[in-house]
Amino acid sequence: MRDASKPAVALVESREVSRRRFLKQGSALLAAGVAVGFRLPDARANEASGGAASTNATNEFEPNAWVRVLPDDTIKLVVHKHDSGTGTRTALAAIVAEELDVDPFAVDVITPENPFYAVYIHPLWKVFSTGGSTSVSLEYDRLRMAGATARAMLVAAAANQWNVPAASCSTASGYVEHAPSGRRANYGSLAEAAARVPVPSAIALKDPAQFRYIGKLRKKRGAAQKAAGTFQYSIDVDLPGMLVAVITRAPVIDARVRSVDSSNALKLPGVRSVIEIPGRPDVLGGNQAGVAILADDYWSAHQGQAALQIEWDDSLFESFNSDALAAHQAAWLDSPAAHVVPTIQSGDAKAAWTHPARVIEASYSMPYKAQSPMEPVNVTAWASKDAIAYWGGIQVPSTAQEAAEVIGGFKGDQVTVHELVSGGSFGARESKYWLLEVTYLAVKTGKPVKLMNSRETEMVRCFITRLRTIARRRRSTRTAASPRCNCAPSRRLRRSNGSRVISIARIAWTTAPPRPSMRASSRTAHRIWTLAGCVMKRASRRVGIGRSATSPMCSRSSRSSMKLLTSASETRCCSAWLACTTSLATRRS
Amino acid sequence: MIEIIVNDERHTLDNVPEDMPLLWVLRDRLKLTGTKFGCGGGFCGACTVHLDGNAMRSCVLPVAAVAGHRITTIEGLSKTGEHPLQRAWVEEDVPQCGYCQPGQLMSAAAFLDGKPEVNDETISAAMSGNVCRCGTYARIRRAIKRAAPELLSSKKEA
Repeated sequence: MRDASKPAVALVESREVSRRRFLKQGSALLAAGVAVGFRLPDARANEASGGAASTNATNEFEPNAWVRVLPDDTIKLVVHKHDSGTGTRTALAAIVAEELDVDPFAVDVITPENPFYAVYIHPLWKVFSTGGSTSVSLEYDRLRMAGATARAMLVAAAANQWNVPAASCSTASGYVEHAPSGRRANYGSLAEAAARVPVPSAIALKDPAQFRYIGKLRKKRGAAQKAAGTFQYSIDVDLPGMLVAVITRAPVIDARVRSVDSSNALKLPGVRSVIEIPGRPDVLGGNQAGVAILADDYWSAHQGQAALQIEWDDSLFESFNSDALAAHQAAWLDSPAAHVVPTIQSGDAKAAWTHPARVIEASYSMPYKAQSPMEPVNVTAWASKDAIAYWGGIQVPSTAQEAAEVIGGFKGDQVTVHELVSGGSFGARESKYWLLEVTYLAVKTGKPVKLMNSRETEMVRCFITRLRTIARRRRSTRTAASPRCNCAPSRRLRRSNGSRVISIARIAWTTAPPRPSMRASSRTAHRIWTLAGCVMKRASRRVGIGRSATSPMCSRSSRSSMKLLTSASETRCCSAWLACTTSLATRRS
Repeated sequence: MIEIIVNDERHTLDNVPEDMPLLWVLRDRLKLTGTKFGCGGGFCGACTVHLDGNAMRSCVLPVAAVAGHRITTIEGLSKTGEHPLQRAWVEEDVPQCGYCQPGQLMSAAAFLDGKPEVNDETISAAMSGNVCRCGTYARIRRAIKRAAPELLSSKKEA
């Protein structure tokens, strides 16, 4: 990896750069009305947005967190969302480019120098995160504003230089033009002057009728490199002296390692060490106990893993059973205690309920399943005493930050994330366990460590999309079509006089009283479901419900399918879910 | 010591276990990372390479078994990424996450090499071993059809 050849240095540089960057822009963004209502999660974000103005030594024009114009006319647009094949690097850059008036394919698209800059916080989840199909919808206004602000400042710089009114200037594909005098200047030549222009207080956005790129792009970035096999994915990271790690994880949730015989494994060529990783049930979304093999390459690690002899302790979760959980969930749907969660709503839902023309009700269930992105989850980390860097498809940078702090005691400004495109996520990269694990190994070894999941470990012993049962009521006068998935309607139909579709969901991870007849292990499991249910419920109230990228029914009925939009909350409570799911997966295997 | 020929280049491999799959020799030893790891079991096709012109799953191919054979990876499909299939892949905007696409392309190239009848059925049959989680199959089919005339006619001349 070219950008990875000197990670420690790059790490320091990028911190320096980020310290310098945005300091003056923090206030500029606020003035432009771009950054509103962002909670600062850590000292680093505070520092980045709240410090005093500083000199920009590179003469770059950096009006905000998304636009960079260099004096040599290089234009860089920052995409702060993970691209797992979803096209964020095309779409988000195009939104900025539209308002900036540059060809989105003629600019560089980069990831943030400092991904922990406050304006990159997810507006709903309040963490640094990508997911839930929210990137375009929730960033759209801010990104247009960012591009338009930069454009206005470039125009002002040109108008000053030419001594003409800004209103008489126009822009086209990276140039400011003054038609009456025939003058023309590329953005790069204006960068230095634009950086000294006061941020305008009011910004005019383009008339959507004049859009050239938004809604019109039919190509994605990177297609040629992807077809040539030169595109860099998370799994392609290669650092000097890097070890490859594979982990054998607890076969049953909460099981600890009783003993490890690594003598045979250590005899194999290429195998360097065996490291026990303690489980972190204390961390929500924490990893299970595991034993890691570190080797020179994947195959050696894989062979070493097969030669390990691990004895696991018993666990209360041994009798955990998905059928029982599914039955519970189904029963909870009919319980008066079930929590009704409104989903996509339009019109007057309350009024519509009193005289519904028609009510369609159905129950949906989804089993536990592995997300199975084509590229198995992997990540590389390299820790020194006072800094740690990650390379990978890190969909939720906050999880890397948390892992660095929990495992290595690193503070926010000691963490660097090199964000790479991944070969799919489907929910797999929202999890946290792998970042905790790789941090542990990086800290233990002091060497770059690439942690790799195999396909089989992803199938049986990892973060798996949870089992859930959903009853959905959907009212409409327009359509009486029955749901198109294999679920039987479970409730009577009522008539609705509303003209719009209103959906109400009952979701079966709500609390329900434990049955006295439950065995101890079941009671533990029940507590966990209940705990998870509570967390999810609270989270759902706060953030609402959206559609799921992982649900098979979603592809067919996108807006009406549901998933709690709780990437952050989900991560927080997924140790509990993980407990259920992993145990289950193991039993099935 | 094992000798293999990858993209017309001869490599002498020391300290490589005979049972090491070709995939890991390519990726971890020769640093040819265009060939992807998907499942390790020959099920998904992400690791597809050509062995003497035939599409093979490199993740289940012990390196000792391919000693002396001619191996082509995605990096060797063309010098500049301008193979007719690669051009068609770009023109049809096939890749989404793109992770499976090197394997898809290698399977498609081997398929067209055999001068087949090109229609939906034959494409499906030839490409059925390559999984795409993003679901780009329709565009893959279009891209193969787009590239087919050029590749088939050049074959006949040769």
